[in-house]
Amino acid sequence: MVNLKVNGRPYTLDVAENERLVDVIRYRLGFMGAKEGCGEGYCGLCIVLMNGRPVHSCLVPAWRADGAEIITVEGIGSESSLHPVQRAFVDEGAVQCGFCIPAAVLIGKWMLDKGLAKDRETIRWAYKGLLCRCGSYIRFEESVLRAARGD
Amino acid sequence: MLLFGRLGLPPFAVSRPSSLREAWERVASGEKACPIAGGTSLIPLLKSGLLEVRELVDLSGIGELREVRTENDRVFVGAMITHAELMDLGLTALKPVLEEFSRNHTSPHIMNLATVGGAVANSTSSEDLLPVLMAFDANVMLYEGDGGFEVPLADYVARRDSFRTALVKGVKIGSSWDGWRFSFGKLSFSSLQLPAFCVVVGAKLSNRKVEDCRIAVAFAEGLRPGRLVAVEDAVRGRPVDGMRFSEVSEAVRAAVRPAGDVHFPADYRKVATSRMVALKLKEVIGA
Repeated sequence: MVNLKVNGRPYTLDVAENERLVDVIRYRLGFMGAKEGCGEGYCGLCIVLMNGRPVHSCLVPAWRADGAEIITVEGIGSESSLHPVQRAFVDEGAVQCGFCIPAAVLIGKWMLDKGLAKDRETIRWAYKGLLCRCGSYIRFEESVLRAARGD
Repeated sequence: MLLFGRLGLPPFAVSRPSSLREAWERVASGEKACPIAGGTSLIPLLKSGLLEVRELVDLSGIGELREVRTENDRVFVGAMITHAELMDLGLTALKPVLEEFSRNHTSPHIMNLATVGGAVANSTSSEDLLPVLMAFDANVMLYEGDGGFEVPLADYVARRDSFRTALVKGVKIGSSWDGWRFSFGKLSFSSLQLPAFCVVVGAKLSNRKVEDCRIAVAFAEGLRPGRLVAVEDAVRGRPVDGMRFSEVSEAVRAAVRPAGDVHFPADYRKVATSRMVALKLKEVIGA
């Protein structure tokens, strides 16, 4: 049995030994924001916040998440009340195809929470390991800077 | 395992030992039991089928592997300390090198999962941390059923297969590096930041001469990183002002035998590594 909290709600799950965190989040709990792209830590589409830090959920066996607090993109805002990073992504037009956006938003939230959203160099570092095929990285930077300024 | 169009992990059992002894017994049983630390290399290998295991031995419940302590003039860093936590330890001498490594050559998301012990146990050049640790005279603390022992990291990596059943308990890193300057250089490709080549060079000067130096590179021998002791010997004692960097490059070319791959042929790696070592040596001695 694995006890974990996802987006503030506790779950107790009987997970198989070979289930990964991304499998549990998407297919058992239905939080579809975390996507499996490559499944080997290459694309970053499955990034979630685990105990406040961004991790590739495809690389974490589900049993390793026992006792962990997980935040997915579904847990940080709603359509009527967007998180400041989500609002900034909209305002900056950072969303094109949208496939990597859940991970991009979570990385932005982590930077804001940790006070890392101060300069472009640090923001670029934080987006390493996330593949955006639309090439929206500059817009991500602008969005995170905007959210940090509180615009 | 293909399930509803998803490629998941194949089936395996998991054991969760609470002591090194228990973990070692599982791994040494020879029943395709494999220790798992951060999983950043292991999980993709399992998924792709390149590695088959019957049992994963989860090391996360062994408190000893999370320890960090100072012993005499060396710092012990437990095997389960992540790369991100290693950065946060604030080890003064390693700081500039680790910052360069972190800032430009890896991603924070991987650093939050990847562990020191996992990098050591992998012993391949995709682990940039290894040349860093080698340059700082790291020793590997190993555990087998009859107790623990210590091996220089470069020896461990070079003879990795001899330590097949030993568990990596952690590394001990020298902490007295007053007067030294270190530099990290790497060319990486893809978002995985895989190294084309990677070098760490350190030097201590005295009266405008190289009193001592450290040179560690990825792909020193095939896929293994290593210390270039012969090149260090050739550089040690030389005056800064008369340093012939082309000779240093030549010595590196003679010392390394890198593996090639579809991206970077062995000859390219050899030449690029030799140039980068010379460049970094120039930087740290201020020539």
